[in-house]
Amino acid sequence: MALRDELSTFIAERLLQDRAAVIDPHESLLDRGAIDSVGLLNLITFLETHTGIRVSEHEMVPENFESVVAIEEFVARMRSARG
Amino acid sequence: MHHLLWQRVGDRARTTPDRTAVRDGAAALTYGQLWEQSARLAALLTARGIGRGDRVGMLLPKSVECVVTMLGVLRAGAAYVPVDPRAPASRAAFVLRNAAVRAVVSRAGLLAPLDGHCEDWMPDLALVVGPGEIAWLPADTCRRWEAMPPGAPAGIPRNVHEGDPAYILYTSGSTGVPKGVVISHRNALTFVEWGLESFGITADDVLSNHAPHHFDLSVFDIYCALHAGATVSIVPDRLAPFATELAKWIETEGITVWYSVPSALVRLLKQGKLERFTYPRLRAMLFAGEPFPVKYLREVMDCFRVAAFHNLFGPTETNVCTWYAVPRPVPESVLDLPIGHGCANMDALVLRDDGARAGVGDEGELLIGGPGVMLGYWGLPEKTASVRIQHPLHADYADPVHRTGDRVRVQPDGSFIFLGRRDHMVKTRGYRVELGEIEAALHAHPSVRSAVVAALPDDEIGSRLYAVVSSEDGATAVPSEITPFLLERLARYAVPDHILVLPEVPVTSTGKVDRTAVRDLLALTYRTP
Repeated sequence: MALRDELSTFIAERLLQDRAAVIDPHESLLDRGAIDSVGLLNLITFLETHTGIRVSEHEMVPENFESVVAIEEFVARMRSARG
Repeated sequence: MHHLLWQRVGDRARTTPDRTAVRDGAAALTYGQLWEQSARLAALLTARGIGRGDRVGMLLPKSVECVVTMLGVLRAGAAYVPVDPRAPASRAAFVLRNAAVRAVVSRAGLLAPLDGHCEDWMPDLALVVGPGEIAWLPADTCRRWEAMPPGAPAGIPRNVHEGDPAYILYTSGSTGVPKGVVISHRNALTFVEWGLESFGITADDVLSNHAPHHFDLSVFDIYCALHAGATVSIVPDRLAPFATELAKWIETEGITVWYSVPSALVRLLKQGKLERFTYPRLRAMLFAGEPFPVKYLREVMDCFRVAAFHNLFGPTETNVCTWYAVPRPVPESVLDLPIGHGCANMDALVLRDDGARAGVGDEGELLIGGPGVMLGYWGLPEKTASVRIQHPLHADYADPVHRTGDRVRVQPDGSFIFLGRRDHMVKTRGYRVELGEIEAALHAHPSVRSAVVAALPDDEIGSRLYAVVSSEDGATAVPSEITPFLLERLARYAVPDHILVLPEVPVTSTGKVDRTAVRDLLALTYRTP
């Protein structure tokens, strides 16, 4: 499954607690209230397990988690930085 | 005489109409605007025949509209019911149905998913903040928040008095469904008066609002600020999860009084890069909801050097009932932080298991009497009766006292040390959770035959939840399928972090779940201390 699909499923099931939820990849997850402090930690664990990246504290900023697209871009940046 | 929770806000609106009452990052309201908008809501509710004896649901993200809703509902003579906007639809719908709210203030994105969960409940009025339609509600039920016509209630609605319900806060229930704690104007005012006086809140203060509105910590933030003519600044949802942003926000907002669960402060300490700031204005740090590990408290106190720290203690049923001013520095001899003495206008006493009053060094259950004690559990008279007893030391006192279920020890200075619970209620991240509620949700899963939930101590979040389940005959319980099932039924903080599937759940010789064996097994499996 592509990261986008896995991510959308994860956000619907684990963060929005609604398996039927529809997520527009450009929509702001923060404005939708999808991410609280517990949710952010769960999301980071998900990303670390599924993409192999390591998220440090200074990367835990709103810009990296604003939307599905922003998260994808963040993961891509982390991967290319790692080489 | 001001005997209702909203009246002093009216005084502030008259004397300081242009001062900021509430802000949420995106919007702000002056006292004048807050008073005018809440008047519109009160008038609209009154025109629909909603008032004394009715309840109004509030299913909104934290925002200035929440504070308008609270005041508007109270001014109409009704009680408000804050619903967790992050709760799954089934749980949110349960609360609205259980409280039989006649009106609800919400957003389309939060109301629409309730379709199919409401059974026979249907509001007379749905006030919708922002855009969007709700297909399952009749068109004439829905009104736009932004289009509320000007209006004002005619003073205090007839017959409304201080003993009337002001709000209902739903907490975890041991039987599998949430229970509503009904708080009167008098109950809330008792707490607010104590807060104003104990912390010297003035119009120059800026109080943070970190806790969600269905959580009683928020009562202090909102009403102590509004009674003093101060500003309450709601932590914006979009930055709350990010510790470095939150640390900066406390400084830039000029917060003078902070109140949260300890785990929020531990997170700030560990991830917030607090060394960037000096927090010269922050004069009081209040925390409640769970024990604060002393080693972290010392470190947090080093980061907020100006602030006085206070440990507040009390269940939703009494709001804060005891408090402790933390000495600076915390003496090395302090291993567990005391919960202190009873608050003003509260009777705090400890009864030993043999029924005698606890003396110095004795352990017992904390009982609370006085005007801060809730009216009762909504629609659960037997449950209410089970925690309400005649004052054990004064047969002639008319007011009953509340059994908190909290076990404490009396110290030489008469203050209390919290020891634990006498039942299966636990605290995780400051939220109270009944293990029975989680177990009931697990038992509802078709693959689960037997389930038990345990809470093991955790340094940072108080306790962490674990479940042990066995599979139904012919089925296989799979943790990755059970977790989403639980998430659709429980508040997220109540969903166990780990689910362990075993052939059988350990039982005692009498066939009851062996909780001690389960805890030992989990500690071994997950290598916790």
